[in-house]
Amino acid sequence: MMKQPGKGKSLNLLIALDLTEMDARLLRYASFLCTKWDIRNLVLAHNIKKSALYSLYEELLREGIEVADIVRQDLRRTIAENFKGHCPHELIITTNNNTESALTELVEKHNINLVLTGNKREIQGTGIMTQKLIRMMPASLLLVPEETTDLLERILVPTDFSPESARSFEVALRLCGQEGSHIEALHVYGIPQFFFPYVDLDAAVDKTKLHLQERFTQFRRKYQLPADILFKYQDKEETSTVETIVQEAVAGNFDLIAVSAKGANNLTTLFIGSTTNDLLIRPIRKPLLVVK
Amino acid sequence: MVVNKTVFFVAITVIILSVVLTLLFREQADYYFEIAQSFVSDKGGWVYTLSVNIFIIICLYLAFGKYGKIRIGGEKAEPEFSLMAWFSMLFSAGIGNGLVLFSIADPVRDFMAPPRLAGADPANVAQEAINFSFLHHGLHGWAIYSLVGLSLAYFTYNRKMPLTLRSAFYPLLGNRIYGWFGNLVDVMAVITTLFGLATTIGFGVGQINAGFAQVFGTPNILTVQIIIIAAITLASTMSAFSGLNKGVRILSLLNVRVAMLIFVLVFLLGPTTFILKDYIQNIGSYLTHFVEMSTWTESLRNTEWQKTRTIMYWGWWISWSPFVGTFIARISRGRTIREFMLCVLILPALITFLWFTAFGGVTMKDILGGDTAMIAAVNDNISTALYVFFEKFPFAIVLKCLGLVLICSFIVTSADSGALVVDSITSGGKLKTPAFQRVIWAVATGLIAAVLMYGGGLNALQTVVTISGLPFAILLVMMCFSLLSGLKEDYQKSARSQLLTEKETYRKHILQLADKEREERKQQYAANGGTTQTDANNETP
Repeated sequence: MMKQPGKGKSLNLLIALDLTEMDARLLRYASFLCTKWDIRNLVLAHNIKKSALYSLYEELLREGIEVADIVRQDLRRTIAENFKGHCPHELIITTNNNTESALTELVEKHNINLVLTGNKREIQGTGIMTQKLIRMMPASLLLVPEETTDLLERILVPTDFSPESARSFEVALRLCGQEGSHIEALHVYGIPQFFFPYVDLDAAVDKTKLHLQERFTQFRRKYQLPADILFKYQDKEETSTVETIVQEAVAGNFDLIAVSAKGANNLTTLFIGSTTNDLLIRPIRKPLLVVK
Repeated sequence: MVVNKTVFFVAITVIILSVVLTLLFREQADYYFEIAQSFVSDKGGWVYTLSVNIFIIICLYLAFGKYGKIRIGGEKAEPEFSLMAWFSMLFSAGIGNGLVLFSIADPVRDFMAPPRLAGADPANVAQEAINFSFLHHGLHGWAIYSLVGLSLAYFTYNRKMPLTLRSAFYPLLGNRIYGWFGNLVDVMAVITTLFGLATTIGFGVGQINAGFAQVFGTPNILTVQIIIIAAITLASTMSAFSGLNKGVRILSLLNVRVAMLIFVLVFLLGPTTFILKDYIQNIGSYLTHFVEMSTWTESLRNTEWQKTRTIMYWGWWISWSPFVGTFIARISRGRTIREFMLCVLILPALITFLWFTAFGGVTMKDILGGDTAMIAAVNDNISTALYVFFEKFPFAIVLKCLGLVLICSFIVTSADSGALVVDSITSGGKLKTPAFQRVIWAVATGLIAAVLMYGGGLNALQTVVTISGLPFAILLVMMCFSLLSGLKEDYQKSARSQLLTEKETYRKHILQLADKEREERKQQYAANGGTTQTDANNETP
């Protein structure tokens, strides 16, 4: 059982900084989170990837410039400018050719529950880093997009009724299960009409809806979810599951999407669910919480 | 002087030797070269037929495939010439005076001696004559030029290699291109270019002289012809001396404008609607029979037509390709591959077709209508056919004068761009060379033409040039694969560097930080009154 972020106990947070303009955004969002959550320790981490610098590291050293020092200075400045939270925080700079394992080590060492990183694919980058991180780290991951509002009231939890997905409800509840917040469960279904051309579609939809309602009731009972969680189901029709989730999140004006790293197809820890994976590689304008 | 000594001196020696030998043994030369040519077209004809079709396929793939977006000279290269100037130059260098010389003669000759439809409905025979002249002057020829031009342009501007034919073989042969193989290819290119130009000037002079005879009544004798050669050489020398951006560009633009003017006059004064209708029909017919005609090898017929026509033309285009290709490459920096293919392959062919329709098509119409004057004119002398054609028009004298100007400027542009190309190859691929060096080659071309005109042997030389097409055809097929593998390499590299940008940006961030740090240190240094922090520390006890 992994450590999870929760409201009851205090949290250990790690913010992965990368020296881009995303840093400021992340720090401001973290300041906001400080007001919402009880954060015991906030680690601000940056890993200097020597291999990406080629010979620059040595060249600068000859000039008497230590890369770690200038990076630290710059980050301190950025933090002073943008981080207004009151929780204790420390800046850690590591030097490792593999950023993912550097971060993973930090997560293990500092008992981190939740890692914040920028969802900056729209600027540049391939988004491979986040995919690696979610596989390696024993912590949940919160991807913050470039534009986001400092709100945490409406949370969308896509579910496939798996035990894994029940955990994302738990976390969502702990993170924002307070007065005025609103958690909505979403199940995206598709009727493989293609294979059953002679089935009466309307009847099938009605039957499916009935069945889903039934399943959700069971699901709620089994995992003891509060009764005020709204349940919605959506036919994906022509689009993909991920597309439907994102559309729903935008249409419903949600502040966060919470998914579990794994879905019903529970293979090994190395694999993450295909829907989650697709969400990771797709640029979305909402904060995405991947619960592990 | 900036020269590649081996290529320069070997080329000069071979040229002088072959001119002297041709003069000494003219009859034997004619005879043996004739035998060699018929041997080449008999045994090697299929090589030509196969390779020109391969070229077309590769050209279309390059134009419309994934490589179409690659820009010659790199991502940020800007075109050196305006679109119009660029097209004018490549078109003038590529088509030479073939446009004027063959637009009437070719359809008429093929109508009189039909390759396949002897005895059929005359309208069909005429259509096939037009189709074959489209085949011989259309896409295939320009595909050959495009490939050579693109290969050279690509290796010169994207890979920063010398602008000579050998560079195009780099992906296949590596550094061996700087050895004997490269020298051989370059020497061959120089020789075929010079001899090709000399024969063009030689035959072009006949055409100009005939024009003068028609317009001004000057006699058609050797003295006049030598004077014309001298004048052309002078003009091309001046043009080559002034360089690519002045003389060559201005003359090419003049060329295309005069050609346009003649066409517009013929179009408006002649049967306008017929030309438009016929243009559509001819292109349709050409496309319909495209594959069938271009792969036809006479294999089930016991005829010689294809060998003496199609194969001759393929040999001719291919042997000109080192020259035209190098020239096109020289001027094509900053174009994308797609743009290049559209403007070097398709547009010239479409314009050639329009011209052939206006001249050859109208002639066919007249012949089918019973007017056989053009048949007699072509049989008499293909050089004068154009002037006879103009006689039917009002203001014939204006058209004849314009025609004369056009032929002159076509020949001068061929000669000066040829001089630039030969200069580029013999200098080892330098783009900038001393002006007098270009003059040497412009003068040499004129001199060879004059000497051979005087002593005879132009025919023999033309035969040699055409024969040299066969080894070049094989080299060109190699060149295609060389180009493709080069492009593939770069394409993959650019895909990889896309992935590397993330790394690069990180490096950039760190560099910016380091710069900031240096700046701060400098300020600190200044603030401390010229002593560094450590110095100051040392001074305090």
